[in-house]
Amino acid sequence: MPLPGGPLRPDPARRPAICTYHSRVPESIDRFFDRLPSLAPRILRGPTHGLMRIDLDVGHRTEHWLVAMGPGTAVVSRGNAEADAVWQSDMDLFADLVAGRSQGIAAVLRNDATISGELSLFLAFRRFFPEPAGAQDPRGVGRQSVHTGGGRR
Amino acid sequence: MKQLISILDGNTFVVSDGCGDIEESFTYPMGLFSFDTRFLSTWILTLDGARLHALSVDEETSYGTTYFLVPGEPSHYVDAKISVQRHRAINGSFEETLTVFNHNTDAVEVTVRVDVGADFADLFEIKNAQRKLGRATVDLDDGNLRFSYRRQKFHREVVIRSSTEAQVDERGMSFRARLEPHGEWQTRLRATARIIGANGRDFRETLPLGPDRPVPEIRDERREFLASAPLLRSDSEALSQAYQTSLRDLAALRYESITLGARLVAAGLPWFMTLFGRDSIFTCLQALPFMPAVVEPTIVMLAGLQGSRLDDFRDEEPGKILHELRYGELAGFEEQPHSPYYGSADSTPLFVILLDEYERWTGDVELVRRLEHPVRAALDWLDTFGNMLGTGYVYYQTRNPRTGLLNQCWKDSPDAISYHDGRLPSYPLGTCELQGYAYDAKIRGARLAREIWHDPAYADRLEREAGELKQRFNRDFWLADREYYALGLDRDGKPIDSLSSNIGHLLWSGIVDEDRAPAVVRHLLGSALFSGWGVRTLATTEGRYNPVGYHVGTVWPFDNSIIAWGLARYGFREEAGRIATGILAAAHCFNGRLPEAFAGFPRTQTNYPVEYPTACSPQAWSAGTPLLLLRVLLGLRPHEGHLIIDPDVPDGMGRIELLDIPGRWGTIDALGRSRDRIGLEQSMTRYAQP
Repeated sequence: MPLPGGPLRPDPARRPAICTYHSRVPESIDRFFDRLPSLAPRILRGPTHGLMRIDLDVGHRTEHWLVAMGPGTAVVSRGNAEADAVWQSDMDLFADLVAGRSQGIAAVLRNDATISGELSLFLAFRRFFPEPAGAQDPRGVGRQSVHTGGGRR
Repeated sequence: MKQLISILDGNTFVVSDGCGDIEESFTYPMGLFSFDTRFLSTWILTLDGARLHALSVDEETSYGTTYFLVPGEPSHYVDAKISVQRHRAINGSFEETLTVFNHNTDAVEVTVRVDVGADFADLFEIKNAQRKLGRATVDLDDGNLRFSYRRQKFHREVVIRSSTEAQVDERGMSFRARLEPHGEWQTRLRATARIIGANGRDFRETLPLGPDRPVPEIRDERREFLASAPLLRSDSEALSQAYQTSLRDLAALRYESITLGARLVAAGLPWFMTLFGRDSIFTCLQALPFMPAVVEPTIVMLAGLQGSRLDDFRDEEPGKILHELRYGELAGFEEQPHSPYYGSADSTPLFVILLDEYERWTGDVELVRRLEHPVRAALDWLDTFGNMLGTGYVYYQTRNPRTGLLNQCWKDSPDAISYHDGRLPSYPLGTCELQGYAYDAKIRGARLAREIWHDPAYADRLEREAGELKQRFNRDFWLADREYYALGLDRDGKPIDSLSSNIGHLLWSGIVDEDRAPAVVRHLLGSALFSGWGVRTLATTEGRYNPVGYHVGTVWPFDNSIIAWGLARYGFREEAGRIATGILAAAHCFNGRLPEAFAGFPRTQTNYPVEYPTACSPQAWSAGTPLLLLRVLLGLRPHEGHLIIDPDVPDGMGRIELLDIPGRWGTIDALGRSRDRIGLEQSMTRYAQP
């Protein structure tokens, strides 16, 4: 799968972030990261191992999160460190992802986001994103078709 | 229709006419394509303003072709004073070497020109004649020609360079060539397609395999890959030719998986040069005994992209295995749902089947352990989201009415599933082979659970459920008066009562009750389904039968390979041999390369298999067909760590030797010969030779 992105290289110009502008991060994004540890036992069920960094641009600034993923566990911290995989995008796009309004792989395909490093880590991470609002269970759709005579050609 | 020539390496390919020119065509996409984008839509060679004609074309390899051209109309060939050799290759970029020869005793000057254009069409725009929403530009920089396309941050470009000085304008490059008596002139053109990602770099620069592969490297890698496949010696020219062609085509259709640094097999040229769940799984099942290396990355990739949530646009559900992944503009901007699209009801059980089959051949228990959770999620899907109506059957209905697929089984064209009288059913519905695959997935999942995950309770449960499904299926799908299984059940649970090739897949799955198998086999080999070349998708007795209808009467080689496998499973070896013989004879008519599908006309009527008008070729699961047929003829079956070889070679085929079959046993040779005089004589002749 072609996921655009530069190679993983530590950037010497970047120092660990000091979160003085923390308030500019949308609450939904903070909430998303807060919930990862409790979701991990259900979401990260395979033998996933590695550190994923999320770089979100807002204005001229970049906010960083680190998510250390292991089987059934996710440990979240703020900061900029060398990671096995890096997601980079605008903060707004990420806000859409955590609200189920956007989808990560499509965003990468249109170059609104880039992933570098071990993409299998991102494929595991994407499972944390919620489904779109109003998404239907096929069982409900099927039964409705039977009852109402919908599902015609 | 003009003859079209294709060259490819992975998912970069060029389709051109018989002279090597590329021009706008609405019937068949010509151009240079990579990652679902057309990077060249015009590429026309002229000499002093005149188009050229081909004397001959040498399709020497799948990634390189040489055209021998002369100016003027065909009738004037004989006096050609000038000729052109046009050699091209795909090696990450597209490279063309033009050599002009002067056959005169005087020096001449000619203007050589290549018209160039790039429309950056997404493959789906070509299919649906859509307009582009972004902005295209052309730049002349430093003697190069650069076409760019931008839509927001989406950025593609192609740069054309020449090895000799050219006059460059926005529509191409011209060269003034002076040729001495019997002299020659040469230039090399190179078109580099770039997919611009972060920091203005091509994202492929970061791949483990890299964007560019020099031709010698491609040649060596291909040679090594082909050398690792078993060696076939056979008296049957049709079989030998099809085998060699299949191996070469499958080698060429491999493309690099960005996550894995390994090569996956794309589904088929030109429309399907991407990862398909169903196609790649069937291709892997076919190729497993011959090239096991392509299987593991496919399984891992499909597991990595397994559905994790409900998403109506993508028909995604937790546990579901994808249908199709695309890389182009329309997938990115969500005008098409392929990022990835999950609209397929069979890829999920097939995924489990493939993993079990893979472990039986290779003994790779480590992979089965690693994928325990994806496999459990896939098996859960069968009983939850897949079991749409709670009837215990896998059903489908798209939740994306605009761009989703109506039919989510392998016969996925809109009119593929119909009643005997030709009516089309409403949705949701469940076709019969989906239930067969679900049954087989549970049986195979139970083996993995018992032997590798050490969860006997789960294994017992899966086997019990499989047994119940088989019983239920044989009650609800069997049409007692016609003695075959219905094509499907409709929304109301009533049979969709067409006679179709799908019943052959039921044999492969093992869901058919033993005592009903003979009736199923009679139908498969009867004149309504069997054309003489192979089994038609839909029987001639059915309302919608059409010998040139995509899924309603054509013969699909891949379909036939699975049917032959099913026949062999139930002990109908002679019948499996008849299908193998018919399909291999068809392959011989196509010079060893089976197309996606060919017409369902009776063999006695046409004497030659009539190619389906827009069929894809090469196509992976058609290329895989001779391999699976060979497996069936030799009766290869892995069993408890060793390989059972139980050949049953049809009369007239003579001797078959397959040497160095790889697997958990190391390598092993399989030999078989037909029991008729040909087989005996040929084998005796061989024995007589020193």
